[in-house]
Amino acid sequence: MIIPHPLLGPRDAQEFTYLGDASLLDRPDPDAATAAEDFHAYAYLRDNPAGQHQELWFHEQGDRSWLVVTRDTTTHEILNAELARDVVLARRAAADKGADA
Amino acid sequence: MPDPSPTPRLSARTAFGATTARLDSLGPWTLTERPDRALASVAARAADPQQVADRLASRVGGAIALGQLAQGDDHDIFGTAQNQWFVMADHTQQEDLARQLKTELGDMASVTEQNDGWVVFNLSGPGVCRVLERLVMADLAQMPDGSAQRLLLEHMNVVLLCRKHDQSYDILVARSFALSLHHAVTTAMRSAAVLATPS
Repeated sequence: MIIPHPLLGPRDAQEFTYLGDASLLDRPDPDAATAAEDFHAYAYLRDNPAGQHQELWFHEQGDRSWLVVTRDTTTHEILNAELARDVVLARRAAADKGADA
Repeated sequence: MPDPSPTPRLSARTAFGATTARLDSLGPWTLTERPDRALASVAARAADPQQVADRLASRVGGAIALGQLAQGDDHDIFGTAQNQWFVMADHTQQEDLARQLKTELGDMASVTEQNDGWVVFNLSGPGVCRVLERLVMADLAQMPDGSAQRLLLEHMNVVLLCRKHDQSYDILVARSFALSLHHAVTTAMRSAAVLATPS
């Protein structure tokens, strides 16, 4: 499998370590009233989609960046790869914008 | 008063425990250990990564893109990750490379001396890609002069620098892997050399 790294171009999947579902980026609020259930779901419950799946890959043997890779679980086709840093920063910016409005 | 301290008896050893650098010629190719290279890593701190990039760029006369090896008069610099670089220089001239960089960059960057952390090898000779293609998962044909990639070579994490396409490449590896890397590369050289010999 070849992963199209957003900074480094096409790289062999051998250089990467797979972590799992990209929903791990959304850690629940520990101060929320429902924190116990939220963290249970965060730690243990995963969707198991046949089709497009967003997941976290670590470029361990390369530039050591975390990527959010969109992969089709039925064909292993890689549809998109972006830096996890950019994804999180974009989400935070969107959340701040929402809070201001 | 004469200096009472005893004459220093320490002498520099290479990563192979020898006093001279390894040099192996197999077929048309040569693998040379380069203990004469000084190394330092620079990681920009969050406040102003662009300024660190600009300071480094001024040492090699141009911006350094990730995946590129910029060769200046006294320094070679390449990016290893976002806002992170390796600086190479001549060890005899600039043994204190890391200190120089830290003095210049101050709180903008974290600088680590890598002189004895890494070993630099040069692999050269005509058609040397025939050796490298047995070792690394990289599209060597698409690696032009002055490109830099951090990747896997067998089980080792190395940095591959293309000095001249299909002619001369630098391979950097953690010092403790020097023997393993030497074994892997000479094995590939031997095997490619046998195939190149007309029977």
